[in-house]
Amino acid sequence: MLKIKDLFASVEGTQILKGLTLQVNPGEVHAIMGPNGSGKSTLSKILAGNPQYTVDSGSVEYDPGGRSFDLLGLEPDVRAKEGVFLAFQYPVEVPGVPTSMFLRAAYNAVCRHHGVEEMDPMDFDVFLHEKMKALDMDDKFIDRAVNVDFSGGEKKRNEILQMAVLNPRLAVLDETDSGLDVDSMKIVSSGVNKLRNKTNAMIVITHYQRLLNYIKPDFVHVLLKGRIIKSGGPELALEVENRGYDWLVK
Amino acid sequence: MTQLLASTPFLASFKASESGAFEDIPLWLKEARRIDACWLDSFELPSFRDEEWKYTPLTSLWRRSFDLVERLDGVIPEQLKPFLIDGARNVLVLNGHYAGEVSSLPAEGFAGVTLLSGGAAYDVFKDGRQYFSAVTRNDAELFCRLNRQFLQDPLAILVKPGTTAQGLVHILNVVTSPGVVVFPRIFIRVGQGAALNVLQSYLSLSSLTGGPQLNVPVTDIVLEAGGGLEYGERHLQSVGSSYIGAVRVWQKSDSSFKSMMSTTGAGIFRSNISVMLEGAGASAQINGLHDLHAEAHADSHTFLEHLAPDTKSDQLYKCILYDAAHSVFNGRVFVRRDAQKTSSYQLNKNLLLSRECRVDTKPQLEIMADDVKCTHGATISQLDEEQLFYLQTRAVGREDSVGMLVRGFMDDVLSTVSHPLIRKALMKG
Repeated sequence: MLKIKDLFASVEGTQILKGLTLQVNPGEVHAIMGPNGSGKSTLSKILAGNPQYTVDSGSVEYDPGGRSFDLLGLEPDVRAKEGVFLAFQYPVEVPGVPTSMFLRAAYNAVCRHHGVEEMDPMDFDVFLHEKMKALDMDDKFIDRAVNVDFSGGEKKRNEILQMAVLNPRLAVLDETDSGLDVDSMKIVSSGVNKLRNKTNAMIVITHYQRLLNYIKPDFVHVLLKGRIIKSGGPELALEVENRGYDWLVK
Repeated sequence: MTQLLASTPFLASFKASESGAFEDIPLWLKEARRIDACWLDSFELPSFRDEEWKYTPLTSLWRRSFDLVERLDGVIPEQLKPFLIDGARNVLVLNGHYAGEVSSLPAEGFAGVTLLSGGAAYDVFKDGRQYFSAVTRNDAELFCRLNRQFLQDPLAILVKPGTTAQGLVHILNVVTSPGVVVFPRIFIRVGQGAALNVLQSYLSLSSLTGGPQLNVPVTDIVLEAGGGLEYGERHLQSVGSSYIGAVRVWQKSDSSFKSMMSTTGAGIFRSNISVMLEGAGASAQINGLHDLHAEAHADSHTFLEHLAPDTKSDQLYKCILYDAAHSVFNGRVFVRRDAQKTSSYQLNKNLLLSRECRVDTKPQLEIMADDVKCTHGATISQLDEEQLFYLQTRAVGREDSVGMLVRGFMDDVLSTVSHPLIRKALMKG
C-alpha cells in the first residue's frame, strides 16, 4: 500500500528526514516511536502534503488498491480523496466554520472525486450521528465551529470522527494519545480499532507504549535522527518503554 | 489652488435640468433650498489633503455630468423580481422617486406602520425639520445639501407608539437609467416603545443601466424612547456606479438600533452612518461587511456620539478584499462629558486575499467622560496557511477551502442579524 524509499526531507532549510525507508501493507498497523525531534511529525506532514515541508530526495509510492500513485506529486486534497488521512497532533481551529457543514463538505468532496452520488443533508445527519455515538460524542459538538473552544480531548475525538467519516485506506495518527486522559484514550482507541480491517492500514506515531496497549501494532519502528534504526514486533515498544532510546544508539 | 464646485461639469449638468421641475414642493423647503443653492455655489472642492476624502478621491466625479430623472415610467423591470422579498412589504424607489409597493404576497405584521409619500411625506419632514436640516459631524455635508436641494418624491415611514411590527419593510432602491444622478430621501420615525424592521437594497446593476450613475441617498431615523429598529442595507452596485449615502440616527432614552450594512462596493462607494445616542440607556449596534472583488471600492465612515449616560455602542466591520479592491474604514466614537457609564466597543477586521488590494483603516476614540469602558482596534490579516492545509487534508480542494475560510470570517458579523428575512437577503449577497 505504501512504499517509502530513502526519503530525505526538510523544513525551513533544516533537513529532518535522512533516508527513511518503510513499507506498509494492507491490513497492517505500524507504530513509529522516537524521541523529540527525530522526525516523527515531519513524516506525517510529508505524507499529508504540508507545503511547508520539502522533499529533497526519495520516493513515496501509494497504492490504495489497484492503482499506484506517486504520492508526493498529489495535492493534499487529492491525497485525502484517494484515502490518505492524517490525524493531527495539534488539530487546527477553524473559526466560523460549523463542524457538521465541514464534515459533509469533506465527505461529499470524496464522493464527487470517485463519481459517487453525494449524500443529502438529512441522510448525512443520520450517518454522522451513528459515527458520533461510537465515539461517545455530544450532539452539540457538531454545531460548534471546527475545534474552536474544544478541549484537548474533544479535539482528538473530532480527529477520529473525521477519520470515521472519511473511512481512509491509509491513516496516519500523529500522537493521538497526547493530551488524553485514560478514559478518553480508551474511547478514541476503540473508535480507531473499529475502523481497522484487512484492506486499510495505519501508521501510529507515539511517544509512549501506553497507546499501543489499546491500538495493537503489527510492527514497531524506532525513528532516530530521521532514519528508522530498529524495527520489530510489539515487544520492541515495551523494550523502549523500559530502557529508553539510548541503548539503540551505539 | 481651490476649485469651485459651481465651475464643474458635475453640478452644472443636473442643475440645469432642475429649473421649474419641482414646483409642487412646500414653501419651507423652497426657502431651505435657496440657502443651500448659495452654499453650493461657493463650495470649494475637497483637495487630496482633505482627511475626509483622502482615501476616496472624488476627482473623477467632478469631471462627469449626470442627469436628473424627472419622470418615472413606473414599470418594474423583469430583472428586479429576484430582488423582491416574499413576506415583506416591498417598497420601490425607482431612480430616486418613491414608486409605490410591489408586494407579490400579502404581507403581515405591519400594525401601526404608515407609509407616506407626496405632500403627506413633506408634512412629516416639516414636523421633523431639526432632523431634516441637521448636518452631523460625520456627514459628507456637500452631499447632504445636494440631496436636500434635488430630492424628489421622498418617503416617510411612521410607527405608532407601542406597536411592534414583526414584519419587514423592504425598500428596493433602483437606478435603471444610465448617466443619471438620484437623490432618494427617507425619514423613519419609530414611536415610543414601538419596533420596526427595515431593509434597504441598493441596486444599480450594469445589466440594468449600462452606464455610470450616482446615488446620493439620505435616510434619517428617529427612535423615540424605548423604540427599536433593526436596519439592514444590501448594496449590489456595479463598478461603473457610485454611491455616496448617509444614514443618520437620533436615539432617545432606552431605544435600540441595530444595523448591518453589506456591500460589494462600487466605483466610488461611501457610506456615512451617524448615530447620536441622545437619551440615557440608548444602545446601538453598527455592523458592516465589505466583500470586494476586482476594482471595487468601499469606504465606511461610522460615527457614534454618546451624549447621555448609560449608553452602549458596538461596532464590527469586516472586510474581505480580492484582486485590486480597496477598502476604507473610518470609525469615530465620541463620548461627551455627560455620558458617564458608557460602554463602546469597535473593531475593524480585514482579510486580504491578493497582493494588489489595499486597506486603509482608522479607528478613532475621543472621550471626555471619565467613567467609561471603551475599546477599539483594527486587524489586517491573510488566510491562515495552517487552516487551509487542515481543510485540504480533509479532501476539500484549495478553492473550496478558501471559500470556507472566507465564509467563516464573515460568519460572526452576519450572525448578528436577528430578523430572518434580513439575514437571508444579506447572506445571498
